[in-house]
Amino acid sequence: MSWVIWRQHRAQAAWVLLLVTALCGLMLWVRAHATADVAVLRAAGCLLGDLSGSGCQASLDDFAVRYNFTIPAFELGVPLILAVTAALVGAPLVAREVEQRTHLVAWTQSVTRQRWYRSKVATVGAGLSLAGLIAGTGTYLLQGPLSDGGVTSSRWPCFFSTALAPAGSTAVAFALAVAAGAWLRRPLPAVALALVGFLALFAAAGRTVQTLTPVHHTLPGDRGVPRDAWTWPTGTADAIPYHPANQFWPLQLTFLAILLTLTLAVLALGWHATRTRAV
Amino acid sequence: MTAQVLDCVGMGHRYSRRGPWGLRDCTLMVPAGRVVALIGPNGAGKTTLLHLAAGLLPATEGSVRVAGARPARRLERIGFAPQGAPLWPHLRVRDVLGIGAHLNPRWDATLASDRIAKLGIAPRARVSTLSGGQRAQVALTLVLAKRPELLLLDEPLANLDPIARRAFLASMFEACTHSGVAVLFSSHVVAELERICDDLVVLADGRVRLAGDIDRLRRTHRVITGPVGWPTTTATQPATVPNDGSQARGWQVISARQAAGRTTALVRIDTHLLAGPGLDAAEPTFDELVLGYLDQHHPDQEPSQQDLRSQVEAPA
Repeated sequence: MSWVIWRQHRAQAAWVLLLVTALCGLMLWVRAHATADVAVLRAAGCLLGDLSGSGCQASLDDFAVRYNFTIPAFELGVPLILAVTAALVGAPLVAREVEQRTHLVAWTQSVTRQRWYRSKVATVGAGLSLAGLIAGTGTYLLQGPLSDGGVTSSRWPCFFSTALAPAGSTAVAFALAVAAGAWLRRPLPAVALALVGFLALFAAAGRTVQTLTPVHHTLPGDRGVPRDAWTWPTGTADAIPYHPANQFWPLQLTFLAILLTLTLAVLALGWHATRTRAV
Repeated sequence: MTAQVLDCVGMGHRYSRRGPWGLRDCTLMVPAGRVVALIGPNGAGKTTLLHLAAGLLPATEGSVRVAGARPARRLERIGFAPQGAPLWPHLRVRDVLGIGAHLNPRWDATLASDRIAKLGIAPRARVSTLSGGQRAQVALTLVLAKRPELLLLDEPLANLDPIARRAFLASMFEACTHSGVAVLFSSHVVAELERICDDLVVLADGRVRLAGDIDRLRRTHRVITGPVGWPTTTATQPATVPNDGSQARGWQVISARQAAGRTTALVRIDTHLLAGPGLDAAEPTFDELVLGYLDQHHPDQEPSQQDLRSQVEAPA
């Protein structure tokens, strides 16, 4: 089965590899520039928390203006580009076979339809998640000098596009596309449906991990939330909920777990459609 | 009993819970080494039957057994060539055969490569560049090299011109006589099948109308030509509607039609028939047998005014 998967998906694998390499190359290139600029700021004593130098605000503003583009480009761009890629790979997985009627050939070889689906989805999904993990590492590396230079205050603002999160979000987008393709039996509408579903699920999962996990609250005597904390707009003024910086990795793991659970559930729906609707 | 390669008992499939039945009450046995033609007009249930036997569809009622087990458990023994010979258009011929080699434990690589070479198909050619006949041959090679015990071919002759058809049939049956597989293939091209198949199954409206050994079926049927109005008015038959399957004197009128001032009826006989005065009796040809059963009126069916004959002869 692995030879068949490789033969059928190697072109897609090459495209995804090219895309991730380009994304990471771009991010590392921006990171190199930002690191150099941060070194200049550091030499001038202008890093956050150490504003001892003169004209620091102007230098920091200048740095912010120069690297502000990274927020839409990478913090939003990485998960979206990966989701679109995953949808484009996932939607035809069942739907194209049905459309070309080659499913009648694929499922009448000596491999059961279930094994065919399981191996394909596991292999291609794992490949895409790996691509997401690589891109997430790229964002993580890029984000270091940006928070030092004051474009972002901490790792939190790019929580959903850094570290483990892109691996999970890519897997969800892929699963949604596979299931939508199996259900609709046409790849292109499946891509659209998968992306709409992805945005909804991603937002819901993000909200869940932000607000439904155990949160800290500011106490009346506190001087506000810590600088490295993750906050979100809420109604109450007294006890502001936040996640302290040391919660970053636990919450990343929680987010990944939520996304992977969603992935498995959606893939199970996809199998149901493949079993009942495809012939 | 595992002597039957394919054994269907009361098999039926319904496409949705309240939808129409694609096939109903189909009882059919295909022993090893037999070549069975499955004939019927479009929408008769031929593809449904083959999909059920190939394990692509579950039986809603009844049972299907291939070599004694459910088809989904016998995939390595079933060779299924779908209608229109769909293959992955962007793959090369050798990759298509590679897929067969990697997914089938009994794959015969020599058979596959020899067959492709003998047909003059370049292994490096992409499927999208092949002609319809070449693609059908690659699809058949994919199925034959699997070395199945049951070969299911859905309209293998559609989209082939008459010369390609003859070449395809020759190469198919050359391959089959060597291996002794059971073959069940559907077609609505009636004329070419007589020489090559042993058994006949006629399907119409999702039901089996006729099934059996062709020679025996021809011996037990007669085409009888008589004057207009016969058999309703003739003395040899009771005055009944000819198409209601009435039985008398050990014979049964399957169907009758009138043309050129004569009535021609297909009649099933249980004993040796002596035609009455003014009647000519002859053994039916293959076509007459098939078309006679397709014309047959069934009590559970609306009286069909449409001419099934034209559907049967029309290519896909």
